[in-house]
Amino acid sequence: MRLLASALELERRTVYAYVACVPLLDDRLAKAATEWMSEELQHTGKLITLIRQAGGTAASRANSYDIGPRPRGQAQTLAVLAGLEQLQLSFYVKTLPRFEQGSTRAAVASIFANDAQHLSLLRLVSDQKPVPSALVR
Amino acid sequence: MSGARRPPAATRRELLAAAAAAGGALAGGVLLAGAGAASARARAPRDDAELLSHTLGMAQLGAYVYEAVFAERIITGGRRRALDGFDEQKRAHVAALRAAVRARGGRIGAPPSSDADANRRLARRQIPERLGHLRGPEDALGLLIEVERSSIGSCFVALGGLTGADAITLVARIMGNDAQHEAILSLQRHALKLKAAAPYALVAGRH
Repeated sequence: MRLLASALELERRTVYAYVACVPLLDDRLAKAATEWMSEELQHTGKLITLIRQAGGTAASRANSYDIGPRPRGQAQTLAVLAGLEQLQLSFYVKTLPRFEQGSTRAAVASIFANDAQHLSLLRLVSDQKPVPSALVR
Repeated sequence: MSGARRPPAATRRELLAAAAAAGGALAGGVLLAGAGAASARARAPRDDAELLSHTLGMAQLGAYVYEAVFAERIITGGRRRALDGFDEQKRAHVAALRAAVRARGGRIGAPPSSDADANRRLARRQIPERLGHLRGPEDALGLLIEVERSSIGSCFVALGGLTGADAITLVARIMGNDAQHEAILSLQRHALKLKAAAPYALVAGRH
C-alpha cells in the first residue's frame, strides 16, 4: 500500500509538471506533451484503483508540487519532464519486486512501460539517443 | 486477433494468465474476454525458471526477426537510423534471459533456425508470418511493432507470476526497453507524428 501511495505521489507530481510545462513548448511538442500528460493522469487513476482494491484510501491531491525552478526555454522544459519521467522509472525498477501480488505488479509494470516510452520520446525531441540502453534503468 | 485461427494451447494459457494479472480488464488495448481468473491461475505456468524460459523464447524470436528484417535492407535512410542498436539490444535481452534461466536450472530452447521456423513461431503468436516476403518498409515496421508488442505481452504475463526479485527486475527492465522500441518504431510508421507514438497509458502488449 505504501509503495502504491509513493507511486501515486510521483505520478501526480509529473502531471503537475506537465500542466506547468506544456505552455512553454512549441505547438508540435505541446500537442504531444498534452497526450503524455493525459496518460500520466490515467496512471494516477489506475494507482488509485489499485490502492482501493488493496483496501486503502488514496491521499488527496496536493494543491502544488515541487518541480524545481521554472524552466527557461524549450530545452530546459523538456529536461524537467525527462527528469521526472526518469525519477518514476527508477522508482519502479527499484520497487517492482516488492509488490507481492502478481496482478498488482503487472499493472504497475504497464505504467512503468508507458513512462519508459515517454522518456524515450522526450529524449528524442531533445536530440538525445532515444533508447540508450537494453535495460531500462 | 484473427477469428479464423484458434490460438494454440500455450498462447491461450498466456491469455488466461494475462487476464488474471489484469483482473480481467482491458490491458494495453487487448480485451481479454471469456476467461475466468480462477482457471487462469490453475493453468498459468508456475515457477520462475519456466516463466523466464518462456520470455526467453519470445526474446529469441524478436532478435531473429530484427536480424532478418535489417538484413533485407528494406528499411532505409532516417527510418533505419532511428532503429540503430535495437537489434543489439534484443540480443542483450536474450543473453540476460539465457543467463537467468540457466541460473535457475530452466530449459533453454533453441532460437529460430530459419525464416520458415521463425514464421511458424510468429503464427503461433497470432502475428501474420511474412519473413522473407515483406512488402515494403511499412510492412517491415509493422512486423517489428507486432513483435515488440508480443514481447511486451510476454514480459507482462511473466511479471504476474515471477517471485524472485532479480527475475522481476530483469523482466521489467526488458519490458520497458521493448516499450521504448515500440514507441520509436510507431513514430517511423506514423509519419513522425509524436502524439501517435505512445497511444496507451497502460502498456501491456499483446498476449
